[in-house]
Amino acid sequence: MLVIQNLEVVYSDVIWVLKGVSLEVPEKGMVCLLGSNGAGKSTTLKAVSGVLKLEWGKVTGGFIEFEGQRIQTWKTQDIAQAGIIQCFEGRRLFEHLTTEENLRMGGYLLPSGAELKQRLDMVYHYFPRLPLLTNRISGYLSGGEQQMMVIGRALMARPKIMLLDEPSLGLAPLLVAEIFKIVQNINREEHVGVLLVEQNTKAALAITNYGYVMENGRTVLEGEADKLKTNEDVKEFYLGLTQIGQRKSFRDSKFYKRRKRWLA
Amino acid sequence: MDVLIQAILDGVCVGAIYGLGAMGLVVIQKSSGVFNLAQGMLMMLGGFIAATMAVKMNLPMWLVTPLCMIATALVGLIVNFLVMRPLAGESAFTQLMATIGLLSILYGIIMAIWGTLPYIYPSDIMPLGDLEIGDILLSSAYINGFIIAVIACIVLTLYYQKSKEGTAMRATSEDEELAASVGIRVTKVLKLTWMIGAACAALSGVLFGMLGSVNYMLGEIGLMAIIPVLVFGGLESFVGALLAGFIVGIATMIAGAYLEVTLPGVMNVVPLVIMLVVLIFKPYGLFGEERIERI
Repeated sequence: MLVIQNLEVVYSDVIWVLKGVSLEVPEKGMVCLLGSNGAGKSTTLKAVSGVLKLEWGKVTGGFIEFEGQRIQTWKTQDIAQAGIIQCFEGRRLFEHLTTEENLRMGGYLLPSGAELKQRLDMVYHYFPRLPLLTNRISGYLSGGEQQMMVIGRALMARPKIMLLDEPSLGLAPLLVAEIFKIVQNINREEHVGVLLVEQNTKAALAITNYGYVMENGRTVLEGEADKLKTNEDVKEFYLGLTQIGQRKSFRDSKFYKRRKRWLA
Repeated sequence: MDVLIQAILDGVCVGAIYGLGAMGLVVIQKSSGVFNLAQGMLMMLGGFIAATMAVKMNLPMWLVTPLCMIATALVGLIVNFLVMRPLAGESAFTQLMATIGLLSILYGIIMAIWGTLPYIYPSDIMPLGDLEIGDILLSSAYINGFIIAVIACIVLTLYYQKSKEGTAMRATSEDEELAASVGIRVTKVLKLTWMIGAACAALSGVLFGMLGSVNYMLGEIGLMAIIPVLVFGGLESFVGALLAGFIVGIATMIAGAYLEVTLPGVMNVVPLVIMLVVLIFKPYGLFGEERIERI
């Protein structure tokens, strides 16, 4: 459904951030995009949702295809209308609006009031904590509540695919598990595709079926989530696991060699 | 006693007109986050356009007022297109400086067209006449101004709090990028903002003109009258603007009635003193949005 091919992005005409990103999210699929800080994960999502244009970024090569149409030149609002909805990193929300107003804004493009009501009920069904907070100013909610509201807001827009940028950031592990479970349910029951960007590799690979790893603006590794979990490189770089009992100097040299191969 | 009651009633009416002027600024602040220092000039522009239609063309006031609001709204649209839209996304300070430039340009244009002669609205064509209760006299300009300001406050508050487009405007002022990503057409919101803001300015300009005359000082006087009200009420609240208008108006009128003889000019100082005190004790104003900080 969503295909990115050799995507290149430049900020302010000089900063070359993405140097060749290729990935694919199948219909109703759940795919994660992993990588360290500054690898270009968030930029990839922004390029897809079109927000990049508001930040002086430009797609200079490759293409983004959604349901057979090239969307990299579309306006942000038209991309939202087409069904691609992004949740930004750090739970960005309209702080001074109440929870319900935030959700209603998520459904801004819905054609009728009846449908808005229906979507609202659906969001409240998935996030049973939200109906208790309808009239609270969203800026004062707790981190977990805000994250639920933000995902709920994305769900309001009748998305075909949701781009989630680090939903686990700054949340307690229990809460992360709860929210990921809900995202998984949404994916299964509402048939919404999910492209999940995460630093929390373990949690992300547990709920997705397929994963990509980014390094320095490129996708360098991809595979089934189960395979990635057992991949030596992923284990070492992202899961923090190493083989016990090996000599340190040997491991370091091996680490360096593999690292070099990726960065080249 | 009559002097006091008279001063309070005058204060409420004048304050309502100040409040209406401040509401125009609130509109622009609330949906684009710009503090528009050229608002006084837009008020003066509205006042002059209305004066031309009422004095030169002899049109009745109930027709003139909406016409001049529409005309000024179009000017607001042009301002948005030429000045504010190219600056969208720049820092609040850059945009503030742009409104200062705008102030000078509008002032120059108005001087070139209307010159320095004052215009006085014909007084017999307003919907409500003078009101006399015992020894207390309320002029028709006061009564009409009060009613219009209260209605405008209710309409604007309902629009911004309840309607979808109003909520979208508030959302846009908080985060343009996020607003665009949920499908809100940000450029359309900004257009609408400047049209409504300019129309509010025109309406309050006409009412200010009714209090005395429309002349080349109205822009400055208007701006100096509404800024204390705005700061007092809070930058984002229509109700705050109206209530603060009442309080500032009453304080000014009482000062005028009792102190003006011994301390000439005290009327002009009172609003600014109130503003200073408010800034010290309640920097966000009565109903302003406090910056949300989480620990």
